[in-house]
Amino acid sequence: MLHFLFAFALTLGLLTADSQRWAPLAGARAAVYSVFEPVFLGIAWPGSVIDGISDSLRFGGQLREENQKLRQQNLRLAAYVQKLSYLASDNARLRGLIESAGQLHSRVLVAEVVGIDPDPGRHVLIINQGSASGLYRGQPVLDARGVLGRIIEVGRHTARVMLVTDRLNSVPVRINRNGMRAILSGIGDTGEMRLQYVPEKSDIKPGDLLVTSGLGQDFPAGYPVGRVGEIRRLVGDQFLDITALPVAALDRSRYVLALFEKPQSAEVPVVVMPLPEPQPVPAPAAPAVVTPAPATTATSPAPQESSHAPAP
Amino acid sequence: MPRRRSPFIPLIVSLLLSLLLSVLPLPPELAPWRPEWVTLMLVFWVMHAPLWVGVWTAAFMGLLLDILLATPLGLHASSLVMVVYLGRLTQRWAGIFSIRQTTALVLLLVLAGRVLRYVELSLFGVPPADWSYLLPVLASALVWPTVLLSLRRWTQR
Repeated sequence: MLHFLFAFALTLGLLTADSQRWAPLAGARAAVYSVFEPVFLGIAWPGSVIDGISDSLRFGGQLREENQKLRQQNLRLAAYVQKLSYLASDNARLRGLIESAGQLHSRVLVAEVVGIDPDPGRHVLIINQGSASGLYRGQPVLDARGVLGRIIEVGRHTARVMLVTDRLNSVPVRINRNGMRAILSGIGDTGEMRLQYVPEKSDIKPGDLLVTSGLGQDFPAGYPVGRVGEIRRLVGDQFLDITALPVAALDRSRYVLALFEKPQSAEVPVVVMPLPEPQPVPAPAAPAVVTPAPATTATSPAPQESSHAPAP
Repeated sequence: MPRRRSPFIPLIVSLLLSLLLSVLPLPPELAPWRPEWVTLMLVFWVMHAPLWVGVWTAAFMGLLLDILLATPLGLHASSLVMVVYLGRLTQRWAGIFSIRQTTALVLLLVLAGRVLRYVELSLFGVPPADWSYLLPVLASALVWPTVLLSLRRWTQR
């Protein structure tokens, strides 16, 4: 009886501490999790072996066909990239003009899905990259079509990705067509999400593309998340009841991309805009606007002045 | 009642096996029906080797399970501690229970654990939404006779 009370109190205490995100506990948990990681990689091993065998058993004709298809796709993508590089330089110039830190080429890391969470009520994938490759908690994860989810737990060589359809997940989005903002939340259904806080009289149509707005802490702006499905008007509610369909292949993606890019709101902690004051030295400040290093341009006139001052 | 072999090795093997079974991927149709293997093994061992398995074993296994399943730390631990304690209270009748009676008992124990976890999740997180949360209770009761008969040969008798 005494043992029971002690053990029960201890576990309840742990639960309380964990729910308050007590730091030492999280560290201990990560350490033990790293010990168990080979289990997940080991469980995935038979599946990957079977995939490998079926890959190597494919016939020549199939391979030629696939090769041709991939060549065509590659050509198409190369053409896109050409156009994109032009747009990127254009965008960098414009961003330089408005002095905001623009990051167009972001690093990605390809990871393979090695498992899913055993609890069917949670939409969580396990991938085979972890903190050893630099992944961090809250990192956005994409597939070829759009946003897949975010990393909720990182081990040494594996990580857990919560899909956008999980009931605990929400993504700040805007409608690509007109820029209207909303929150896209998972409801625990793999094929459906809910778009929240869209006022009753707003310009929204079925089929509208929803892209990340970059307003939260995790997702950078501009990646597609979902499409608007059904729009229902509820009597006596000031918001519309809107369902949305995910664009990423949530249950079929085998390879995913972890994106090393943070939204600008999270990168620049405090931006203090200096009050416009009469600037007597326009000559040294002028090239600073043209160079695409905008993070320093706000403060650059001051050090330049001070470096100029002792020189003569 | 002379004890011919100590249950140490089957105990460790079965507990490790139960941890593995609780993270093994299942096809999506079967996934809601995954029995609570760790609970079943612990209940079996607390009935048949109460000197070896108690609430502290349950707490330890629960913490391992919490880490493996990435649930809040202490969630499975607390429910397993409670289940094993309740199981120990009924242990003195384990010898005279029929299989059918222990199956009913296991059903109640697993149900009690699930209910406790539901309460804890409502307090500390988001509770599960639909009735499929209770399917593992049925599944556990259905596989219990198999577990019981296959593990029984390892106990002292």
